[in-house]
Amino acid sequence: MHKYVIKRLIMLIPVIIGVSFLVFFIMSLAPGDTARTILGEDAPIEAVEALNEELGLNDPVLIRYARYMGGLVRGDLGTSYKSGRPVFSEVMSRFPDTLKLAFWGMVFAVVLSIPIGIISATRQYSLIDSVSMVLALLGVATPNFWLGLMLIIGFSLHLRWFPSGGSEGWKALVLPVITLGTGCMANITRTTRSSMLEVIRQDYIRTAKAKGVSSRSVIYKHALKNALIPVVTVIGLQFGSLLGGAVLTETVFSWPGVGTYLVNSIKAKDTPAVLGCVIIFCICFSIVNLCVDILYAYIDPRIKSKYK
Amino acid sequence: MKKILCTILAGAMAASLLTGCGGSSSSSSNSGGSGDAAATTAAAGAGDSAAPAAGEQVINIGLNTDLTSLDPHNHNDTASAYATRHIYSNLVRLNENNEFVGDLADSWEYADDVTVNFTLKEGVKFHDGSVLTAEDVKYSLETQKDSPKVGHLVSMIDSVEVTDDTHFTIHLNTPSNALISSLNHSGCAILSKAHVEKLLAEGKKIEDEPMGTGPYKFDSWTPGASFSLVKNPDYFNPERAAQNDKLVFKVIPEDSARTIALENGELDMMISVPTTDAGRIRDNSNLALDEYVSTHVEYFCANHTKAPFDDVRVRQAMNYAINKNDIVIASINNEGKPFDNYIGEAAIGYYDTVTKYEYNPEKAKELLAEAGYADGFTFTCYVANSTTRSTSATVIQANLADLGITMNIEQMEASTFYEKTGNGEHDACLAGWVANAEPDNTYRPLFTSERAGAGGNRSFYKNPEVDALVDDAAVNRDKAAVQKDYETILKTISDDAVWVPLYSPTGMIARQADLQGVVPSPIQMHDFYSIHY
Repeated sequence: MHKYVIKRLIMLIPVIIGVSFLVFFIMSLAPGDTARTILGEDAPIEAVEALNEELGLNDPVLIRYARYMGGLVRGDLGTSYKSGRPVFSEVMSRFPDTLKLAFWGMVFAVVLSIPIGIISATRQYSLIDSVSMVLALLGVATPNFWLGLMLIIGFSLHLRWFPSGGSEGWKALVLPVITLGTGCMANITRTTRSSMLEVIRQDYIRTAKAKGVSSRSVIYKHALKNALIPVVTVIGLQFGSLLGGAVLTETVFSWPGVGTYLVNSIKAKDTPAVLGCVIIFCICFSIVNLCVDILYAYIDPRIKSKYK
Repeated sequence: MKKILCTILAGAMAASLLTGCGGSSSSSSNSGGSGDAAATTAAAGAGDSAAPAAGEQVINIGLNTDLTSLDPHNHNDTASAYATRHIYSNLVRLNENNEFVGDLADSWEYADDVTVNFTLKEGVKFHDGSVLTAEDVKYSLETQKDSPKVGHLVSMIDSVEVTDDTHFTIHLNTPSNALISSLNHSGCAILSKAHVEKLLAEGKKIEDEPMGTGPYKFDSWTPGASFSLVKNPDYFNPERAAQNDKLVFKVIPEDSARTIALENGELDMMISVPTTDAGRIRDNSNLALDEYVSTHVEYFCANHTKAPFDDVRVRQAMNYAINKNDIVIASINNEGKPFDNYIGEAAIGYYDTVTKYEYNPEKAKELLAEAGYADGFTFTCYVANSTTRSTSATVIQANLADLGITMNIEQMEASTFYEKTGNGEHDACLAGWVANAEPDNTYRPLFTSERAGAGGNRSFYKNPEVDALVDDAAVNRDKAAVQKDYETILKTISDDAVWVPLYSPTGMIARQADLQGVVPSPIQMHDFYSIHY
């Protein structure tokens, strides 16, 4: 198992090199003059050229990439073109907020979706199943910026229960977590339901029922565990998208996270900042996937035996 | 089995929980103060008048973008200037009547065209208690020259010669009328030499501990979320001393979220009011909307190096063909006015000498026929990603279709737009301009040959006569002659139909109805010291 984990962590290195190479070259292929974007329309040409020179943007792209990778090997994510501050500290000052939002969004989604999924599956075609499936469909289909604005209008403007934005205190967390978690919850509910439906038709479930195990025990001990593999996979994938895909939610709620920073950096053609965000997301995503794979082993002993 | 399920859930979340909680505790600890403040003002917004009287007065201001740097030499944007203009002071400032008056400078006089003698006010103190001297001015202006972001503002300065603690002379390398207006720019803020040298010696940067002579001291900055300033009780100018205790600038990029935050009292005022929400704010008796004439002009700009726009008759036809009223209604909900001039009405350097073209499709047809385009033509108009500009483009497209002209609209990211239009790849484009306190900063980039392309002149208009007038206006010390220059330039460029000026949006600041002392600045460099309940 340890060997496996170490192997997976080492695999991160080529992934990071590949990702940084792709992003670096896409960023340099995209049209747009970085210094002009930073200095604005009215800056004289000499000032723009001086800044491009200072940022080293006049060098060929391969040399710039080599220089960047040279820094990366030493753990230096570079300096933001726009602010002149180290990218690592800029991203890290926002990352806890992004992680907090993603984590609680995921807790919200999991806590609600797994029980709903189980109930829907065990009472297939009942009213509760139909209602929850319609809600799940709506949840997947609702654009989260729209949901966010509706929640703000309802709970912030009219009821004044929660602030409309910011990240101060638990109250500020409620609306963004619901906004971010809803789509995710809908996905997990649907996956749980279909996975459960498949499992409860298996022979061993019938056997368990036949030998007189209580139906509660059959569902939660025998069926759920076998149904969890696809659910955990979806949770892992969704967590990745919660980390990187929270831009709209962050914007609507003025949440000072990495998503907004990433989008602003892309707009400003701030390559080191974009790369910094992407690399950190990449590491997170890989670690979450690794956790998911390790979890498989705990859920399913057959998988565990393969790790040895 | 249940145990295992618990382990799974706990295991999956343990790692992130640790970090998640760490983040939550640190962010709540450094922003607890403003959280309380928000609660106080929220009560005020709800109509409870007891709140402002209790203790310190905190003003929450909503912005659509965060600052980029707290170092005056390391930024050139409005949001950063809101912070640095209040932390630092300049030698001169622009007053309400668009005149330059001394701020740190007590007086100045031109010894000759390239020598200006300044006298500093006495006893001005930095936030750390040290006294401002001419050495600080020399240090600030000379280090500013090395800044890629604001160095160009002082490129005319050759050297600063210190006579004594309160007297110094600025030697120019060329005569320049822009010196005084540049000294008012946030980039020309006066730093403390001793403080900056100490920071640099410690390996820190100016923005790590911003410290100046301004009416506010730096308090905190949470990137992406907010920044705050606290009152400087020892500010040197009692007339401009802060009338509130603390300014909290909250970054709310989403337009409707910003309006809602004002409506529910989380904000006391907001800058950059979305035009779609202006009506709603006017209708709300708890809120007020302050409107002001801005220096902002939106325009349609054809590329003069490409046919058919190399023909002045075609450009004039464009001026007759476009219905500006429709654009104002469609793009900015009528929160502005159709415009014929090339520089904003509130700007220094605005004169009403332009040739006006009324909407007249028949006249446009005649001119097109004269130019040999009776059957119209096809061209592409570049638009940077912006809802208002793409709406304007759609209206123009419809107007031109009436004359048989096909205008294709191509939208792109702002940086791409700047590069492509800078290289002259466009047939035409839509752009906007906000004039600052120095007319040369508008006329030179927009209309001179030297700045054709990426330098700002996206029409590639080249007229030696205009070039000469701009150069003269920049150095001529005779005010009447400068005015004549600008009047002639405006007449010439409007006769040449360099652009189609479209509209000038109304500047708007929204606030709680009982908030007082808001003085909008036409160039958007608002002062916040006078705001109070």
